[in-house]
Amino acid sequence: MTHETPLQPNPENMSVDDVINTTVNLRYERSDYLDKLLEDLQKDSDPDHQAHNAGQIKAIHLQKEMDDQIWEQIGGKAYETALYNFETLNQRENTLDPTQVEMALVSAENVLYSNIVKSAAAGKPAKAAAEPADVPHQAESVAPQMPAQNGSVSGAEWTKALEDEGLLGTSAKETRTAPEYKAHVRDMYQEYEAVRSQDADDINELVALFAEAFGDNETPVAARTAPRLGAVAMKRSSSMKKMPASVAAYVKDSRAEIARQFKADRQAVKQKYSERFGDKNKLRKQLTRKDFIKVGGSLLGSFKQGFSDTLARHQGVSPLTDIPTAASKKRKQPTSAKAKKA
Amino acid sequence: MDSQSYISKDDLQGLNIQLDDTALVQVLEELNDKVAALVGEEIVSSLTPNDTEKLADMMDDATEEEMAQWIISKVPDYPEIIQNNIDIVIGDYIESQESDQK
Repeated sequence: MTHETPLQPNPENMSVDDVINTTVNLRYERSDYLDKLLEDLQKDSDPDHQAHNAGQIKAIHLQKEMDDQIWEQIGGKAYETALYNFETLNQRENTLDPTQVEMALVSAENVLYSNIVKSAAAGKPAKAAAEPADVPHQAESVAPQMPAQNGSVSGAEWTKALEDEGLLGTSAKETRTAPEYKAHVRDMYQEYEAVRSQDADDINELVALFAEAFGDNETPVAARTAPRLGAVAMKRSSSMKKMPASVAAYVKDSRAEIARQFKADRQAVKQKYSERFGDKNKLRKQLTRKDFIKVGGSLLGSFKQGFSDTLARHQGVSPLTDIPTAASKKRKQPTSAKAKKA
Repeated sequence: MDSQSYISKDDLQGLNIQLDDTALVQVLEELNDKVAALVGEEIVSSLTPNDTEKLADMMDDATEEEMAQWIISKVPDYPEIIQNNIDIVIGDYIESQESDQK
């Protein structure tokens, strides 16, 4: 059941981007695969196959619906939307805030990546007995292998395949009711709830989907199927960096890291620009930290207004607690910049 | 986010950073000063020599609002500059807290 494919990267070198891209590619390959099966079945005009094929077509449609649900609930759909917004930003004539769009994409990537990793963790104990070591690698292997009979399968065989893979029936029920699994789902939900508080705009809807999916036992499809998708990614990337567990770690390792990169890129561009002025801008070097604080502090009101406007466009946000700080107080202090200039 | 500081009490508490009120005010002062200083430095580095001179004049003569509007007209990417530096300062603070605990 293990196959090498062009999508198989070297696990040792697998980055977050690789994990996401591989998962997205698996999703598309699998979708194409099911579409091709459907197309073949629908082309089959043999009268003796019609009843047989009808069952298969129904099963494939069911599987496609399940795939779509899984994709949405692990954050894939939100990621696609965020990526689309990002890639088409320049065509929107400023209808979207670039910073918000970029942060939405980063958040969506983190959610999808984290979900893949977490899902793998959830899938391991559940699948241990049925599938001890050989995690499928090929796109179609993410889903149960269709038992082929002259190029087609019966509805009963398809159902059995789903059961054998732990996607239907008793084994699936055991999976989703296992204490370890419930604990994992609870932990995962709490983590997303925490991250959501930082990026509520971006993933609010996704968290609601998680709550709906994992808050009860009535929507077990994604909960029991997503681990398989995650297991593939985990198998392929045993050494990949794990998503930080806490919000603080998330900010430190992700947001701050990204912010540093943006700042470095921005400054590199501006450095090229300012080099044209050579050493003429001596005044800049004479300004002190106190001057910089005054300049930086002066933008506080405008920044907050812009932030509030952006939030207001998305959802109602109430102001939080005010604490006067040195930055705001020092804005009233006189400066000596003019004296330096003289 | 509150209206008088870049980093608020709620921002820190949302990160599970628990401090008593006195320490919290002090930490917020330090962090917001750092943000303002980094933002100011980057804003100034974005200006031409002539504009830097103009800004120096405004620091003495203009109101804060006038200065802000002028800066915004000269440095349109100021929201990114601010947001990035907020994230950097918070990230550095979390890292320093982790180092202290080790």
